[in-house]
Amino acid sequence: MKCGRYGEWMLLNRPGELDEKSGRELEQHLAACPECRAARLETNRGMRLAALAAERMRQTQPIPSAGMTDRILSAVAREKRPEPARRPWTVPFLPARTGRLVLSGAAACAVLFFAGQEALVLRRVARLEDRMAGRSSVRPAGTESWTELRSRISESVPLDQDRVTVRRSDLEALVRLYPDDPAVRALAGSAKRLTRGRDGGRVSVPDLVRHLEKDPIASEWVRQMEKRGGKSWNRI
Amino acid sequence: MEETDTELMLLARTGDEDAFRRIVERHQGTAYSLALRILGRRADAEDAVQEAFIRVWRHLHRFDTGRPFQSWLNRITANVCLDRLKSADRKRTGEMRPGAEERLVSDDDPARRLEDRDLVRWMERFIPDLPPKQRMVFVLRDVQDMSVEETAEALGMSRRSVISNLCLGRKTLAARFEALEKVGKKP
Ligand SMILES: [Zn+2]
Repeated sequence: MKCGRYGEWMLLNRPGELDEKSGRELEQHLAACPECRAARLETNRGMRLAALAAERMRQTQPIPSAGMTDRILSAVAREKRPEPARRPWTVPFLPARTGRLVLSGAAACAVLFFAGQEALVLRRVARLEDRMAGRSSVRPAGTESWTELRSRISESVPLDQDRVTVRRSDLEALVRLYPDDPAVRALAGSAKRLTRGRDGGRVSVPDLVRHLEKDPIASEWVRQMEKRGGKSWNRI
Repeated sequence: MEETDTELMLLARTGDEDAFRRIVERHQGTAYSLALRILGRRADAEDAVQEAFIRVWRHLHRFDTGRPFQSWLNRITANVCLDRLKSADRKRTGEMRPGAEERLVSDDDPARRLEDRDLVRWMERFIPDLPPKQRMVFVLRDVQDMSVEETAEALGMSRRSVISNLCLGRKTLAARFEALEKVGKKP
């Protein structure tokens, strides 16, 4: 049927649905085709009523019953803790299947570097934590220290299983959450440089560690993540 | 200080229940509105929203922080609703068929014109009669006012398929409003 698609196009009357060229084509066709004009006239009234009804519905948002939030949250509370980031930065320096005791050259250098820097680093970390303590959104729970909190935060950056990468956007989101934390900023900055500005890029964690070697605080942060998995660099 | 959705999601990943509560509080209204318009009944919609947030919680680590949380939630809610429509469709007995509105209208004053309020009521009646895909597409696009692209993304459909389902849905609804008009005008 020669008029097939015009029948459909006549129903695409909201912005962004029919491109300009097709719109002109439709008008030309309607000018030339009495059947389609008649068909449009036929559906016009119903279309307008339906569109009006949809518009009225858009203007009102139905309100859920008062207890819904609590019902949702108690249903969620009956669930197990969410799936963890399967390998939350615990052995990020090792290729996935090569065993756990082989330390890459870069990481080994970082360990030596740390031996000398540790005191300095710890002082800086302590100062950093004092500053973070002033932020309302970041709060350690119970007996947890700021360092522990930060290592817990590392769980919010999931590693993908096989390629040992993290999402750059996860790190950037951490910056928005912890803008005062230079280590977080360093992590995100490295990720950005390593993905060369590509959006939605993933960063290889070994690359990230190599890139961060020169930044003791960021490296310390990674080390906290490491400890979180019970595999402190010292023990290795 | 007001955290963004992404920030709250990151906090929720660390097990922060308060952050998750705020995500729920912030987005349950939109999710409910979407679910209600697709499913048509309040209790069903509330169940669907609850299920959607359980899925969010289970898959916190799959959320892509590079994209808006709202789109992710729309997609999850739409999927929950679609699952329910599909299983309801199998059990369906055809209790609400075209023709019901004609009886209702002729009970009313025939001279009365369709008012806005009635329009919405009729629409709420007509939408559940659409087949699942048309219903989903129509609600997301025309009632929730998402773009064609957002609708396609939320439903995991191609743009082409969204457009054709949208047209089918609109055409059916237009015909039913048209029929309503004719009935309403009868002496
Ligand atoms: Zn024609």
